[in-house]
Amino acid sequence: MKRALWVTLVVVLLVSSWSMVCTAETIELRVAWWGSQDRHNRTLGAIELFEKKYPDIRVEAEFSSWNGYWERIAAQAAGGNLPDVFQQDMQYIDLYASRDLMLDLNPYVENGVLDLSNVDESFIVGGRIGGELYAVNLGSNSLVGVYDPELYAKADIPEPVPEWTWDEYMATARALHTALGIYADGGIPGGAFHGLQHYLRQHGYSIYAKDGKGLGYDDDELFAEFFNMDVQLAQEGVLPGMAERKEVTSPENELLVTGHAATAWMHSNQIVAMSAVADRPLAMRMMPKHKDQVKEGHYIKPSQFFSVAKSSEHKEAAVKFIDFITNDVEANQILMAERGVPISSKVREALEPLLNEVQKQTFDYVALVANHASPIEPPEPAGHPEVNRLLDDLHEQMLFGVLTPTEAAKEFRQEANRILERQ
Amino acid sequence: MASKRIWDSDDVAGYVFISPWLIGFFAFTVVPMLISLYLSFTQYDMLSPATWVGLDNYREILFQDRLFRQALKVTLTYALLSVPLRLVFALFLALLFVQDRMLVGVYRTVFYIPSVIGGSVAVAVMWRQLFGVNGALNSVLVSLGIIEKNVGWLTDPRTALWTLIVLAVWQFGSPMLIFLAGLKQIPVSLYEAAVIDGCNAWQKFIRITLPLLSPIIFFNFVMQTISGFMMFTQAMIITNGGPFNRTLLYILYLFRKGFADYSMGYASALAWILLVIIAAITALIFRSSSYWVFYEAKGD
Amino acid sequence: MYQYRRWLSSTLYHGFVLVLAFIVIYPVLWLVASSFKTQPEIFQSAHSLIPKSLHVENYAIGWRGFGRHTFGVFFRNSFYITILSTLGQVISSALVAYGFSRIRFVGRNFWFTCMILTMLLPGQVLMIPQYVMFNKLGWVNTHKPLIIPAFFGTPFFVFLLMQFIRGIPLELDESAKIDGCGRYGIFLRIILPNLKPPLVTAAIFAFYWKWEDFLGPLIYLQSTRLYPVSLALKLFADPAAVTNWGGMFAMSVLSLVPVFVIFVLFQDHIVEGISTTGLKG
Repeated sequence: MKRALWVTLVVVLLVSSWSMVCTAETIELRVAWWGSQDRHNRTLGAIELFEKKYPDIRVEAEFSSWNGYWERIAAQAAGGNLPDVFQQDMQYIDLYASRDLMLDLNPYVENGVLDLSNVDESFIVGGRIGGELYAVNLGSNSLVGVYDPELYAKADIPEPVPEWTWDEYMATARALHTALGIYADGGIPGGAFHGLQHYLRQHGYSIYAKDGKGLGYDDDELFAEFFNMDVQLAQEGVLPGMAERKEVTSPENELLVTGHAATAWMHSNQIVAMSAVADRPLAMRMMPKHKDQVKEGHYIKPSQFFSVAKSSEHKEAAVKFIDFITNDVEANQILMAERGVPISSKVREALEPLLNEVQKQTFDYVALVANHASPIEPPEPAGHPEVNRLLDDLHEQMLFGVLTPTEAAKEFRQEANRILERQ
Repeated sequence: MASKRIWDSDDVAGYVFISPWLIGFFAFTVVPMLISLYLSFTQYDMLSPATWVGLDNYREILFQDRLFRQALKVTLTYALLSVPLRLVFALFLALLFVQDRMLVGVYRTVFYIPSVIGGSVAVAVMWRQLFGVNGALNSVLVSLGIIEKNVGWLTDPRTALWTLIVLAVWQFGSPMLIFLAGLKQIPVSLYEAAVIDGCNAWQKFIRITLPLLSPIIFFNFVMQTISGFMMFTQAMIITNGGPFNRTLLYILYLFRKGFADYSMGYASALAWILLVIIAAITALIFRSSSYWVFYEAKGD
Repeated sequence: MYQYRRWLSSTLYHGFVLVLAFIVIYPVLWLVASSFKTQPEIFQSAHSLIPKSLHVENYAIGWRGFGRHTFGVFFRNSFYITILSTLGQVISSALVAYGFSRIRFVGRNFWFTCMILTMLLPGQVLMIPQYVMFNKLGWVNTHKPLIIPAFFGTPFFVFLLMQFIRGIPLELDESAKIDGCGRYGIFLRIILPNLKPPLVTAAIFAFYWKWEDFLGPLIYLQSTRLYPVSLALKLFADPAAVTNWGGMFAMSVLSLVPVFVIFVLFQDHIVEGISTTGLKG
């Protein structure tokens, strides 16, 4: 018995020391992302394929939920311990790039490690800051209204078309509400931030100035116009009040899903979740146009990116990983566009026959929007989270009738400029 | 023999006994605390080295930041209401469950369980099911005719903070357990003597239970006050500070400043201001304790 | 007459407690019920405490976890971290509490004030400095930062135990001294045995607080294979995606089981009389 124990011990020691020698040769690559269980499992599947293709690289997956992900990344950045590859978001990319924490990927595109030959520039541009490529888009999406076509049929109202203007939107929303007695939408198209951004873009402006040091529009009237539509419709009962909107925290209690509204506004990659819980056919519509618009409000938005940490000791392996996720067809058959429509046209073609009804819809939608879109704004400045909270707060107050949109516009300008100047 | 006496002398034995804490204090706590104090005088985004800004953070917080004032107001209201309510409720239940009755062990367990589902995502989902516009509370109240229209308890600026207070009171488990343990420390002979003297239940409670439990009441009072100020998770997952920042608890604000806005220097200054505020309140409670806390054995 | 009054008081007591119990426990029952419901049922018939049919597979699906890491791994990590740190906290806190409450030494009030002060600084601003420190020690991505500091006393428990030690009559110390006990003997023979209820209370809290803590593990642990249950539970949900609510609730319920078992096993000791049998109703 005792002898057996000794033998086992020696064997274990031998094996572990042998494996230590082995690991000394293989590269350990840390890859971090946020998401839900579905994304974790898909990404882990793709990683397994990656490890098979590159036997000398072992991937240590570090995944978490959105809540908590950024706290950990910040702590790791403070400790000089960032993962080699980490998922990046529109609202933080500028901040991390300006602190010199991300690797410029251009040299790797040039030397061919990162192959973007099948990717249209419009899908890449979101990850560029001042010419440098800091992050590779993992999937494209755009604002979308997901609606129940059955309800339009029931109300005998024609389904929305891309050419619709805000006026037509308002009229249809009222008609839907009158005919069916439910809310036309779960909220104003696009929601407070993205809706306002869309409206401003249609007038040739944007929420943030190009340098991010202040607001990017001068006319408070535009702000007031946009939110006046919202407040008016909410007062008429065409749109829900603040309380009901704020209670929506996951696809399951979205008013469209529970049958209290005909449309829900979101980003197009989220329709997969929405359809899964709604369990009935849903259709997709674009944001309304403006009758006097100077450019399209829509743009193709990167849902999220992968970036390489500048501190990484395995930069080439890290870029290889991103290249694999971007271009490998087999890996994408596992990932199945969960992060948005893949940016490589070759991958898109390969996935086409495998898509289910809903996934096909998102692919078609992003293709449709591409024809009605103008270029994306520069990434949001470092003060964005705070400005966004300010806007949410003012939005609540407008809906609750504490502030008029004109008053809110003034306060937004003053406070937002104060926040942005400080950065 | 002499060495044994040295080990047994008050000064040496005292330090021997507190040495675990003392070592940990110097190894794990002092340095981070001093660093955070230093950071409170800097602009620090965690991603690049801190830059010294002197008193700027403090000046902005104290004289310009209206959200700081809002957060302080919300937190004081929250602490002022939830701490006494929670303590009274916990003491009341402890008195019920200290009795020798059938099933009392089961009851203790049943009443402790709510406190262990704590700050989980499940609580947030559940709290919305209870207090939402179409939630359970509304259907009960409407069917009883107490209210006419559904109320959005979590999203109405008048009631949102109350839902968090109710949640705090509902999680009374830890002070209840401490009270239970405290009640058991009271010698039963005292009660027997009181019965002989003809005291009724109320008199027994006032003359024996309260004074003898006072060190434990004191402890719960101090700790619950501190944790009332530190409360954060529930506010984040249930109301997220809204509506109109009516549930913007201090730590939630600090956390957002630090980790969402990457202003860790500013957040550190907020933290040290809070430390001064709680220290003042705690000192007051400690001062007052000589008037109402009675120790069986003085600490000397 | 007396019999009748006793019956009445007992009925009132149990009636009152049961009604209150239902209100207090309702959310817990809701959680347990939801863990057996189908995905749509959780939201559509939220008020119902009785699932239409028992979907036990939620537990199987939830248990599978993420990739190669099942909840078996997460539970093992949780037990390892929690048991070690609970032991560490209770033992070290008892020592420190005795020092602070029974021994008069130079600098006692100063150190006690320091200890209270450490509780007043929000931990959120210590996270970054502590991370940097543990990173330099090479402790990041190990369980060490979650376990080792527990062996150096926890102010909350120190203060708690101090209050109870002060409730132990000094005469007991005196008589032990006469029997030839020194400081250390008094601690072992008088204080510790008399401190059982608060020690058990502290152990229950220490266990639960460590068990549910997720911010510490979130910051210090990177590799999924090291995650405890508390952190793994957060991996299910994403506000923008389909969340496996059934699996999440099932694992939430399962994660409550050890806490529940610990409580049931130890709760009798909280109310166990020491030298006396305690209060009668």
